[in-house]
Amino acid sequence: MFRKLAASLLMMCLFLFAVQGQAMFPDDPWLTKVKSEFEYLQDEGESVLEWDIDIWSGRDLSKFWIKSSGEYADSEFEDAKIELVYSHAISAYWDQQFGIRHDFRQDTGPDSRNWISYGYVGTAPYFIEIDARLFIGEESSSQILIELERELMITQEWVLTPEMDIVVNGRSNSTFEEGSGLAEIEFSLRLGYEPDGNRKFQPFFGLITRQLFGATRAMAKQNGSSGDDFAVMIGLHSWF
Amino acid sequence: MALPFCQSRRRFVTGIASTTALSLIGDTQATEKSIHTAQFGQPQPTLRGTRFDLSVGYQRVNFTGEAKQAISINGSVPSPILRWKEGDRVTIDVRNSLAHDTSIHWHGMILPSNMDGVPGLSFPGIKPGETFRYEFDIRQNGTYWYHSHSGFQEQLGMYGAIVIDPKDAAPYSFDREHVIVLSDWSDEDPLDVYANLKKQPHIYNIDERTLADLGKDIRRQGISGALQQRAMWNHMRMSDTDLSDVTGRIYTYLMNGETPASGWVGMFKRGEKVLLRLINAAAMTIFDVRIPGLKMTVVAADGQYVQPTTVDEFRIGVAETYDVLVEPSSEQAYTVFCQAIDRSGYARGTLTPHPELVPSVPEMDDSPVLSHVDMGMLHVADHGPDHVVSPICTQEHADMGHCEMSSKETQEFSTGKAGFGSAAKPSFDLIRQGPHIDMLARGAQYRLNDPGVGLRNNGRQVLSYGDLFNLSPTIDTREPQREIELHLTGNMSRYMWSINGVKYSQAEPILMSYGERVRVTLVNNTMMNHPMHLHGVWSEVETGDGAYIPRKHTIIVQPGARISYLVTADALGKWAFHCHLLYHMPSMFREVHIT
Repeated sequence: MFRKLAASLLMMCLFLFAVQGQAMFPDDPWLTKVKSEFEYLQDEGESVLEWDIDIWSGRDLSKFWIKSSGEYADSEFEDAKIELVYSHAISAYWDQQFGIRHDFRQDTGPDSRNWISYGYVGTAPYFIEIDARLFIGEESSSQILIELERELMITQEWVLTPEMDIVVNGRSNSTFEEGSGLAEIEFSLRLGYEPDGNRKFQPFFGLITRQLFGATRAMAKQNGSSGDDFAVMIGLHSWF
Repeated sequence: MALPFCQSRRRFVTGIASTTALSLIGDTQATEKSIHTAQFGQPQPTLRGTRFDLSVGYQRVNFTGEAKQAISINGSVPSPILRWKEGDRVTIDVRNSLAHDTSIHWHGMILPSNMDGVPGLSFPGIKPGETFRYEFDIRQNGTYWYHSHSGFQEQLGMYGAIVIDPKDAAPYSFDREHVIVLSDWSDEDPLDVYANLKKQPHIYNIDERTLADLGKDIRRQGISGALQQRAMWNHMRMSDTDLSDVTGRIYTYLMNGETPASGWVGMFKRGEKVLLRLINAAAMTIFDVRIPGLKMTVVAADGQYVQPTTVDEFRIGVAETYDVLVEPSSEQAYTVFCQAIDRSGYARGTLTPHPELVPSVPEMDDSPVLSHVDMGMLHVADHGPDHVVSPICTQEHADMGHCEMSSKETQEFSTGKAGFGSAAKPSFDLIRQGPHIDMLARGAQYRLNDPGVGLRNNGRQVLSYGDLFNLSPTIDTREPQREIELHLTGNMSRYMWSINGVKYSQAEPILMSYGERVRVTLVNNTMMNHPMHLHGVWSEVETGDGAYIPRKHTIIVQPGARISYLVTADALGKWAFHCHLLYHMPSMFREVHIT
């Protein structure tokens, strides 16, 4: 199944290259954007490095994305995700995305799993950036991830970014400490500074709270965690 | 006014040197300075006669403190002033010393299509190492300009003035003249600028709405008014401070190749009548021009004589030219002050009787904020902003049928008679819908008497197109035989631009029959001002008098507005029609075939 999906992604890639005949000017050049966010925080006495990287490559209306996010703590990867996505514009502000996702973690013994993904990414009224995706995995597992983000300019250089992430699981998975139903809501607030109004480079500090729910919370408690986190972080957001 | 952005605002005025080395390589022409040009500073060389050798090459320049490579003609940025005479036949050999193809388009010139200089349309372009010979008759007079029509070379400095002396005496007298070429320079590679705009369209906006602004708005409009305004724009996912895609954050605005720090200087003697020939050769910047202390009498627009009209200020769109007369009557220096439309910077020069007299430079006006009018929404004059309920014509609203308008005010104007605009309502069915479109200006109106965003009710007498009437009677007095309606469309958040929702690479040409009289009506469904340029034939803007229709080559279409002009299709061949904002041009472009 995954091989089949990879093959069809490759076909779409060839299609993208083929349909673009350029006239006098490069009105729709093939571009690549790399957006990354790295943050460092102390979580229950542990130093954690988190990353969130989005790379897209393509043209105005069709792009390939590689998305990766995860945590690195105690010399081990915890909860690392990498996703390969084909993204196609469906309306002025919205893209539809199909892809495959691979998760792995080392802290509970090396383990990994695969998903296929389907979702919508775009801007809702009030400039709320939304990334909402459904994942279907092996053994009829499923997951919904919703990320909401809004950039608020305080001045031309100071930016406040509230963000909310929601995780809902279809089935429980003890290896990944996931219980079925609403599993997690994360709320963060980052205050960033864009020196000289340079929108490409934004160091920030912020607050993050993470609350676990239901079966997921119960699992975490069994493993000695409280189920509620609060941390202060520093980080760097940049793109090129 | 507050400078929310001190550092980068400082940057554009710290540009140090002007163009270096006006070396006239390979130029056999005598390059005497115009007796009218300033005696100091570094005037652009003036080339006269009927035979010209132009060499396109690379040139080191330093406008910002950092040496960069520009593209120049005969070693100067701006390129030399070409001084022609009406009735002459000129021969211009253009040698390409670049590593890429190049071309020169003679902007506003009426000439055979194979001389028009648009690669792929008029001719194949000029290959590296090759020389192309342009040869054509000069059948007009006035102020025009020339520039590369290849890639983004124009942004790198390849532009210059054309001044054509009339065969008969000009309808006004003057004692002295100055050519003023406005432009915008960036140290960033234009391809990177274009890529950045595609990746994050508001990257260069240094005037985004902030929470701090909200405080100010609340004081001015009250809490509910301010919040309602903000809610409206937020709901639309659009920014009311989005006036220029590229701003003073990376641009240094130039006047005759001089930065605001150095400043161009033009001389006059007290009591003289001075003719200023202003040319906007910028890639992306619309300027608002005024000379505090002096009235300006507009005598020509886009090279063509108009009935003189006296103003304090005028807006000059990218690629437009205006000739104005000024009469400084006292022994003082004046600032020629050209603010970028978004007020992120300015180009500046001095008119002075003595080199040691230095005038003060005015503060820039407050940054303009787009209004409902600019979005092509309902007229709100009678109700005030508090009563705007659902005025927005985003795609979603349009789909919901929320965007009906009353056209009471425009009915008197749009009679359909030559000179008065189209009687037909805009048809939005012409637009190919899709993710490349973010709004429809369902309420688009003729706004000939609107000087435009940022210039309304500023206490100064500001020119608008409604003030322009040709000096001599309309030549082709026929009524238009048919109408062509074109919608300027785009999606700001994806940085995609198009005409009728179709970009150039996928579009069919616009067809005109030789000799016909056509009305072209442009409807701007975006929130940007688009200066639209039709090659080969005149665009006769309908400003409200069929007997004296002004002839232009480039027309600003205001956001959310429509405007009409008549075209006599008297030039056979393939012509270009496009937005002259350089980074809109690749896609907001059409071929026009006159057969």
